[in-house]
Amino acid sequence: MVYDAAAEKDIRGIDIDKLVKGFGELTPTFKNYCNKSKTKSREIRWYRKGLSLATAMNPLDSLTTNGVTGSLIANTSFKSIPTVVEQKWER
Amino acid sequence: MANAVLELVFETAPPIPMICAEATTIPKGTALKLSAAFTVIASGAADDEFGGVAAEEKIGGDGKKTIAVYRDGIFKAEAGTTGVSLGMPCKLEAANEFTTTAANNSDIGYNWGIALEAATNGQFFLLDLGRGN
Repeated sequence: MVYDAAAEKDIRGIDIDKLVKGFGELTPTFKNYCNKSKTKSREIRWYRKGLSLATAMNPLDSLTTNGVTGSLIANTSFKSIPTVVEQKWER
Repeated sequence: MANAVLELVFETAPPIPMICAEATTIPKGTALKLSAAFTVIASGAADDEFGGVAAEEKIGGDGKKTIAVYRDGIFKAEAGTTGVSLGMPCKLEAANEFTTTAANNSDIGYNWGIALEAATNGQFFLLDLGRGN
């Protein structure tokens, strides 16, 4: 899996539409549960959220290292800058 | 498998534009070495001089002749075969892999920052980039 975050090629300059979509031509078993959209574009690219930062309790939390495994988001002290957290996407 | 690129954890200073080759692709988070005057290329070997860390992905042939480079900040980085020691200066051991700088080598441009924790081969550690050079 190759996930791209901000400033990486696959998603640079793209306004990512976060809605779940489905084609009308596909077997419509779950179609009613999805948003449907038409397009006249020649090329369509699909992206999905990366799970590399996800845990069951924290859908998007800070990075962990060998010695730092706790959240860097929780209990951020007064006057300190926040940690950087980036959502990643897979094309 | 290529070594993992660095990931920004705390942005203590914004990136600056440094000169790079227009035609070369550089992934975001790549450790960059100084190759000429104010010019960086992707690091590839031990003892590469400190250039910085790529803040954006450089797309080869996109017409841009500079790349955004972090010269400061706290990063998640990967330790090389000999590991890094808590509080000690770090240098490149291979592309995007770090190890502790030898005692007599801290004054010849090898240092990339200070290890904020110890790590052994393949483990990740917090690197205080750019400090102590």
